[in-house]
Amino acid sequence: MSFRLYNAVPRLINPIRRTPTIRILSFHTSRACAFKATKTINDGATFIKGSVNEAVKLPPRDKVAGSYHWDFERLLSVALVPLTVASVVNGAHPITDLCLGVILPIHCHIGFDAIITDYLPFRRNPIVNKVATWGLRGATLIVLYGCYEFNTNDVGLTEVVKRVWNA
Amino acid sequence: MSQIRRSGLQNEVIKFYRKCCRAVLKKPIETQNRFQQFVRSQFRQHDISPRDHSVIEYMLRRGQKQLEAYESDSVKDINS
Amino acid sequence: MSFLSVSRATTRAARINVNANTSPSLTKEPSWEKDPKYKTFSIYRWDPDKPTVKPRLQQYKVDLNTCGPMVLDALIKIKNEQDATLTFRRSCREGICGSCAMNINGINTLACICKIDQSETKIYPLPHMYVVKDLVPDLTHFYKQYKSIEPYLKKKNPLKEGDRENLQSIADRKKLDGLYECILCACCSTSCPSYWWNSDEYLGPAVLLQAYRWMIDSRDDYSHERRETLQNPFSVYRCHTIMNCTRTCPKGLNPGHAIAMIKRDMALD
Repeated sequence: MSFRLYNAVPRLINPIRRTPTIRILSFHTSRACAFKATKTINDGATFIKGSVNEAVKLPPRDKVAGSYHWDFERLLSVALVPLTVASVVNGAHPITDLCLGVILPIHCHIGFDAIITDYLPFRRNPIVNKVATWGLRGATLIVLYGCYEFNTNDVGLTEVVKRVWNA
Repeated sequence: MSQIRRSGLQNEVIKFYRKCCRAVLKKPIETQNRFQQFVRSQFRQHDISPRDHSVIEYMLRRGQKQLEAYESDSVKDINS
Repeated sequence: MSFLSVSRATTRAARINVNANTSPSLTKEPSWEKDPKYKTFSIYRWDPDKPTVKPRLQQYKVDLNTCGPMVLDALIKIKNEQDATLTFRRSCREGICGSCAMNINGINTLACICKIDQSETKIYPLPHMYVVKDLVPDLTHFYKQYKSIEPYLKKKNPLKEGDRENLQSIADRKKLDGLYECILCACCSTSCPSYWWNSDEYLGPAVLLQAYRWMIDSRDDYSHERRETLQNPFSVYRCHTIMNCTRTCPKGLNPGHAIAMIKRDMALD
């Protein structure tokens, strides 16, 4: 067991493994070239440099676009459940209408935004991506304003769904 | 009419050809001729229709890989 | 080795066939020799040396009575007896190396653990990968992505000689079950639509399963940092829980669950 574990982590633990390579290499010119082409990571592991051997570079870290974005999306989705239930059970109420008028457009916005990042990613078609993203933002703003107007000056979202449902 | 309008793929191919020629110049002077010949032969090897985009893209990818291999300083001469 | 023995077995079978044909007086012998049962395999062919020739499906007829039970047996038989130019990867013939991953009848699986069925079989290379030749896909990018998650044990203070070994409790070891069995055959990644569209940035189920395997390893000290490197809209969050990965995995693992766990841990970090 100990032998196996030792084998699994020799690069990190064993300092002896690193040193002899240089000594041998200094005598062989052809190998010296190969040595030049190797790269050493800070933990002592070496690998051959070159595009096939090098790891893919991950996109830059961005917590807002990463986990926070995902948390926010889930939060909205979960919040929609009791809101919908409340509207169905209680009928129209200004507060639920207001919440629906804000959360629904944002929820849709995130969904459409995911479509854009999936199918029109920036690295493949930057112009279309920009146009689509800003178009979506504009549309979402208009819808948000429209919902607000509709809730304040007209019958409200829940009521209109009810009427369409019964019509 | 000084400038011919080229498609993106055409530009890619020309760019890649120039890259190959520049790589040839890095080789030892007495072998440069042979390398140049090799590059030309590789480009003329197949009779590819200009409309065959997937094939051209494939040849570009393959060429990039070949270039990477031959570019290395350890490749000193070539006999094609 | 297995390759050799298969070819020997098939030549022996061929010889017996010849004998049966040339001596009609022996037909009354106990009929252990069954009638040939032919089945057609349509196999994707593409030769990189003739790039102007379009890829095509080529049909091969194989006698199932003289062939092993798996698709890989049929492929090897075709390569031995009919067409030596047919190219595919194979090694262990028992589903542990992941070399013979290919698309059989529309499902990514290992040819060596996929039984031959009676209807016609179509065999393609793994979808949405560059093809090297015939059934051999170019997995360079896949392996480079695997490298990017640093799939090895990392310790904050490396052990010195004479230190206690890296112990792990049985419960901690149990967490790795269902993860360590992954053989990186790329069946799941190439079945994922998200990976098809965004393979250059999305890591794909196989690599994320491995990432999770190192995140929950109790001996590894960098699980938080490992998660931090994935904090971007592409590496993990292009997973939309389509679950093709879980459905196709020839080893019966659940990469979709592993990705969900990564997402959960990243949310709780």
